[in-house]
Formats: sequence, C-alpha cells, structure tokens
Amino acid sequence: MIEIFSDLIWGARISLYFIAVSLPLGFLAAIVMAFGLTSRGPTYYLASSYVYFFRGSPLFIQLYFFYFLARSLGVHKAELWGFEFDFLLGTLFIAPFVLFLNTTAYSAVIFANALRAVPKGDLEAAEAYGFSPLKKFWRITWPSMIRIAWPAYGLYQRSGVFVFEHGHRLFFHPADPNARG
Amino acid sequence: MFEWFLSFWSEDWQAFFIYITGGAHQAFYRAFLLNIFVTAVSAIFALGFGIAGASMARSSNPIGSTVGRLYINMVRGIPDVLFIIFFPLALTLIIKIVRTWTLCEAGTPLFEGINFIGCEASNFLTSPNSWAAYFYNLLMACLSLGIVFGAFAANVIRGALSAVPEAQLETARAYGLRERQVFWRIQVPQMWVYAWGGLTNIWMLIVKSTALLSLLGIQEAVWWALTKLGPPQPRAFVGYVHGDWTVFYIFILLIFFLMFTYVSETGFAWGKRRIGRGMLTS
Repeated sequence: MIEIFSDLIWGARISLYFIAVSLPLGFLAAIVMAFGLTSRGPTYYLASSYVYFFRGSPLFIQLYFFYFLARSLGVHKAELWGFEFDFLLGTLFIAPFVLFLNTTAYSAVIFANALRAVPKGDLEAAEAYGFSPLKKFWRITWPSMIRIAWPAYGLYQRSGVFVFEHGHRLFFHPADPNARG
Repeated sequence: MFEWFLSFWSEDWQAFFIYITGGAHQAFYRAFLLNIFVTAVSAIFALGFGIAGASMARSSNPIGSTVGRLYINMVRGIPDVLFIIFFPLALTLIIKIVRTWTLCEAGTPLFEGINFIGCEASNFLTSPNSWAAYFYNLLMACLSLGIVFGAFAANVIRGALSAVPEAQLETARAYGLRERQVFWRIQVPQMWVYAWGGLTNIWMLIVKSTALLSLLGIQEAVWWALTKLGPPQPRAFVGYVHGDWTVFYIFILLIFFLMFTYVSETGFAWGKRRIGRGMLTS
C-alpha cells in the first residue's frame, strides 16, 4: 500500500513538471493564436484550422500521432554539428510538447472571445488620445482581455490540470488490451 | 497510360489491396461503428444521469440535494480517465463480492492485502471471447462514460433550469398550473435552449473520450490501430509484410475524429437554429 502511494507521489512529480512546462508556454502561444483567430485573411485560416485540429481530436490520439510521426520521420536519428536529437522522442520532451500544442488551442479560443469582448469605446478613446498601436495594446487591449478571459481561463485550467495528469498517464501506459476487472 | 497503370498494378499493389480489405482491416473499419455506437449510448446515459443529478441537486429534500451536488462536484473534480477506469473495476469487484457471499461457502476470505481472493464461483464471464463478456465490457464502458459526463450534463441542466426567466414561471402559476405542471410544461421545454450549448460540448467530450476505451479492453478503432494493425508485420504468412505503420493508422483515426466532430458541429448548428424558434434569445 505504502509502495503504491510512494509511486503515485513520485509520478506526481512528473505531472508537475509537465504542467510547469506546458502551461506557461501554452499561455503565451495562446495569446498569439488569439490574435490570429480575431484577424482577417490567411492568418485567420491558419489559426482556426490549428484550433480546429487540436480541439476536434482526442488528446490521446494527438500524443500517439506526434510520437509516431516523429519516429517514422526519423527525427531522433538526425544529427547536426555533433548534436543528437534523440531527446525529441523522449517522453519528457514530446508529452509536454503535445500538451503545449493542445492547451494552446483550447486557451486561444478563450482569449479570442475575450479579445472580441474588449470594449470598442476604450479602443476608440485610446486612438483619440493618439496612443501608438503598441501603447494601445499594453494599456487598453491587454488588461481588458486578461480581465475578461481570466475566469474562463481559470476554469479551463482547473480542469486542464487534470487533463494533463491523465494525458501523461496515458503516455506512460499505452493501451493494455487485456485490462479488465 | 494503360501500360503505366499496368506497371502500377503490380503484384505488390495487389497484395496491398488484398491486405487492406482483409479480415483484420474489415474488423478495423467496423470498429469505427463501435465508436459511434458507444458515443450514442453513452450520451443517452449521460443525459439520463444529468437529468437525475440536476433534479436531485435542485430538490428541496436535503439528502437528495446533497447527493446530487456531491455527485456533480466530485465527478467533475476528478480526472475523467480515473473514473472511466474505476467504475468498471469497482462494479466488477462489487459483483464478485456479492457472488462470494452468495455462492461460496461461508467464511471465504475476500481480500488478501489489496488483492481479491474469493473462490472459484465468485469469478464470472471468465472466457474473454464470449458474447456475454463482450457486452458486459461494452455496457460497463458506456455506463462509466455516462456517469462521468452525466455529472457535466447535470451541471449544465441545473444552470439551464435556473436560467429560465422567473416571469414565465410566475405567469404559469398565475394561470393556476400546479408546480409539477410548471416544471414539465414551462421550465423543461424552455430549458433546452439554454442547455443546448453546454450539452453539445459534452457530446464533443464524449466523442473524444471514446478514444480512451481501449484502456478498458474494448476493441474499438483505436485498439485495432495501436495493437493489431500498426505494429511492424515481419512474417509473410500472417499478411502483408510491412514496417511500423502506426502513424498511418493514427492518421486515419485523426481524420475520423475530426470528421465526426465536424459533422456533429454542423448538426448542432442546425439544431440550435431549430430549438431556438419562437424564443427570445440572442
């Protein structure tokens, strides 16, 4: 019994590592992706197809797909100036990587909705005051967007943390065809 | 042109086409139907559990409301994969314990440490390839998906029931409808338009979590792709000799899931227009 629990706690360490790596990176990438989702033209289509791909398929399948894609492309055999790329296939790299891609898509939708909900009057007022686009973003768009998105993002992360836990669980224990009670 | 086609249609290709239309692959293609079937049955279970959970959580009976809220919050707060694996194991263990009590001689030990012991008769459905075991596994899978996503559905339905405008209910009461009539004739029919978005999201979650069923030993498309067809096939007498094809099969699965969610979304958009008819919603 004690052994099982110590194993579980030891495993939770890896879980924490996955969360610590993929959540902050996913947060940053999601904001960029949110601008893509609210833009017009090719960037919109790129961003929305990315989001559609990652939200429309199971995380389980994505993990397997990227792992086997990398393996069949032979990424791990590549060598550049004496630098080995075999770490690319290691679980400690590819699982957080796929989780990062996945959480980017889910968070991007939340941030895009927040971005659409930024009060238009504020932006017009900023323009009337002669703010530069960068200043307008940092002083008006960014704070409003975070304020609007935060409750939804927090809710998603609360469930998302569990998604990560089971994501990595699935990654370490591939399908066992004989698992039955 | 024709010669090019003939050279293309070499014996290798013939063998390939024979292989991908062979028995194992036909089972693989049929397994997609199993995924769709499990999704549909689990969705029905989830809706049932959702309505039951929501009406319990909203009831004035303190025990009922505690049980309902406990169900909703507990299942939503625990990773779904744990529940999906836990419920079939737990239910099977309960049935085994009951069988030990009724069928084995008195005083048979149940557990040694954390391992179940029982006697010969406490095991059931021991032959893994029988139809009964197959349907038992399938039912357990649908039930556990239904219980897990029923909690999400209960939360959605609870919110939607509260979202029905109070004025509608008061008007109904003023017309002399009894509480039961107010609930069934006014609140529930109007609830669907508020619940629609949340319930369709849960359908999407169920579609995506059918990929996890291979963890329960259900032989659906993911199981066929990952354990049977994908791995390298070195021996000629078993079938077509090939290397590791897992990535192609996973790609087919990806396409399937993307198509499934796309078709569902299209259907839901149509349903949203239809369900919102005659109601004041934005």
